[in-house]
Amino acid sequence: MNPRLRAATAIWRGRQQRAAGDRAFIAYSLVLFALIVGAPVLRAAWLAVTARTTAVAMTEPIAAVTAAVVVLAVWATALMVGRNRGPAVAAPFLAHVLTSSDLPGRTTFGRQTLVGVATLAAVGGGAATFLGTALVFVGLVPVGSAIGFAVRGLLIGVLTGLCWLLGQATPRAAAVLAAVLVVGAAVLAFLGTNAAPSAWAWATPTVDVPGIVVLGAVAVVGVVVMPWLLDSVRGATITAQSAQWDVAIAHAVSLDFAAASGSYQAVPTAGRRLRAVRDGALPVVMVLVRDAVGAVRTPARLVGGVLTITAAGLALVLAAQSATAAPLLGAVAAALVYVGAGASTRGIQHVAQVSRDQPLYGFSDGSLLLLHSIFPVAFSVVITLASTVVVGTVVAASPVAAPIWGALVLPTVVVSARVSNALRGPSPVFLMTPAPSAVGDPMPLLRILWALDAPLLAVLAGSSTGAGSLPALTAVAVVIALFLLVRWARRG
Amino acid sequence: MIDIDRVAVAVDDMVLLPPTSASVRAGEVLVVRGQNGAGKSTLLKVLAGVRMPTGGSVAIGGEPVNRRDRTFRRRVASLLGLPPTAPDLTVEDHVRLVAATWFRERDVAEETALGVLTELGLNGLLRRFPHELSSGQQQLFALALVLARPFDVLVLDEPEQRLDDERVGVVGDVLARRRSGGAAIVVATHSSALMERLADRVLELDRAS
Repeated sequence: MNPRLRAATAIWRGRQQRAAGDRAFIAYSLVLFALIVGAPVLRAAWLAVTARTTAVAMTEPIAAVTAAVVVLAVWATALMVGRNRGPAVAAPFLAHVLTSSDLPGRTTFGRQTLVGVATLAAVGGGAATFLGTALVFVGLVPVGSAIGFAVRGLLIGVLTGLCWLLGQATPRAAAVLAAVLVVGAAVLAFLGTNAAPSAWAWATPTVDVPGIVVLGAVAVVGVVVMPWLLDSVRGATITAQSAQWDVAIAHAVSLDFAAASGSYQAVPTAGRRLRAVRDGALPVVMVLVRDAVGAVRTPARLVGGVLTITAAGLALVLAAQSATAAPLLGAVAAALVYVGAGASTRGIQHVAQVSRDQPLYGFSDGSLLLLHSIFPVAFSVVITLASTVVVGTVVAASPVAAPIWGALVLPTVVVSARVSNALRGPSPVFLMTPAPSAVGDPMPLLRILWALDAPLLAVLAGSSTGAGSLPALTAVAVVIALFLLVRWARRG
Repeated sequence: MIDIDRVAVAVDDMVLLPPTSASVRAGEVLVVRGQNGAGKSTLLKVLAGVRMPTGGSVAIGGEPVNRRDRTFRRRVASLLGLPPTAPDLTVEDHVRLVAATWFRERDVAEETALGVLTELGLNGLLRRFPHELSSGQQQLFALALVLARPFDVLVLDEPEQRLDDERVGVVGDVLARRRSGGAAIVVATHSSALMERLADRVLELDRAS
């Protein structure tokens, strides 16, 4: 490490030094978390993937295509994430000091970027090792195949990290590359099992040396150019991203996840000449047009939303094909709809704010909320339904009847959860009160559950939909509706 | 139009607004003055239905204050701070949308929205998004949102904030026209220019009792 950088970081770390007791407590908490939460989840996942039916489904050709599509989507996401929060960030003041010095980016942020890339490589390699080992355990692939898959997983992780850095270093080129990757994923999904080069991202009957060579070559080139990429990241970009990240973390620590994600919400960049308001139109038409034009004004976010919800349709079709993994795939579908619908819910967020403030519009708050719910519900249902039908009939050639009802109902329930989330307001006082008991204080956990109830309930709804359990889905929908009504009644 | 009868606000032992009485007729402007912390904003919040008084009463148009009541919502417009704006709408969209939700007749809505934008000198900013406005422009934009709707009573908390002298003059002219149109206006201000331009009555909260 450069001596000047070492001195600067030593001063910075010195002012935030934790006592040995604090460090020990953090380590203790992490170990407990791993044992209490991590181990059971890992065991449940292991039991799920080593179930014969799931493992067999994982060796179907469609699984390889899905994996390739997912990896391309992950790379595209990493590129886009890097545009807003790359690997080279620091505490705002430290970032300012480092970027205004004469030290090059490779020196100031090289180490943490390497750590980031290595972490992603470990995640990729770890996931591939886990899945490959499961297939070996069931006896569906040889050990060599699992090793090859693990190596490819590791290389995919490295490339994900490089995409992340590329997004920060060259935002415009990253957007283009992300678009190319998305198109590639779409083509691959459309060609389905006919696409020969689709097996590189999944466990294959062989080691797949060509796949390793190609991924390895690209990764080596990426690692070689990494210092130049770091040097080319603009100081203004690093300081802006560092400040934004600092704000988001501050909101997240206070469990205000809506504000945390809001700090990364795209500002409108296009369509300022489009007329969003139709004077004299019916209220339904007026608000629908306003919401649609508003969504078009953040085109990247809109496209991202469409693609994310399209992927939810794919997950619903896959859920209908695999009984064992259906709840998990349904949950994934719900999570994707929850995230993707964000591109269409600005109107709802605005109404939630207005309803706590002075009367601004001539419609009642309740009417406004209902009117602004129409666009996100229609947006999510239409895309999920279209995706489910297209993927189900053209690609998977499966009967589409099963996921159709899910494509109709799930987005509606998920958008309701988003509405409930928008109306959340400040935390109830009783949640802030400590409640010591023989098994500890449950309030911190309850606070987290309260802060995350909307996405968690959405995921539960998705899991119920995937499993085809109408009673469970109805129960979750009722809970969401109750939360929504209570929050509406308690708004400021 | 507005009858304030010994209204007071206290939290525990802390007095936020001492007992205060005043009345404002239609076509009249009451200017509320006082040092920081005298209770100006608290009084305006009571008038707008944001804060419940702990003593006394307020009637607007003979009715008690109720922010959820439809008639009250139509009768009283207030600006107590920058209102929440939609990041995906332009300045023009915002003002047009507010007008379109209050006026049934298309022509009236359009005329009102464009009229307010012109009055406040916002025509050069029509296609800007809220985050592209300076702080002074945001203040004028907030005023435009309040003025683009019908009202009998207008409650404004320091409308001169962040404005240069010329813009304060513009705001004074705009409010004077609303007064001539029959609106009852209550405005808290530190601006002597605005007070001289508008005040029919002055309520000095430092001396209220």
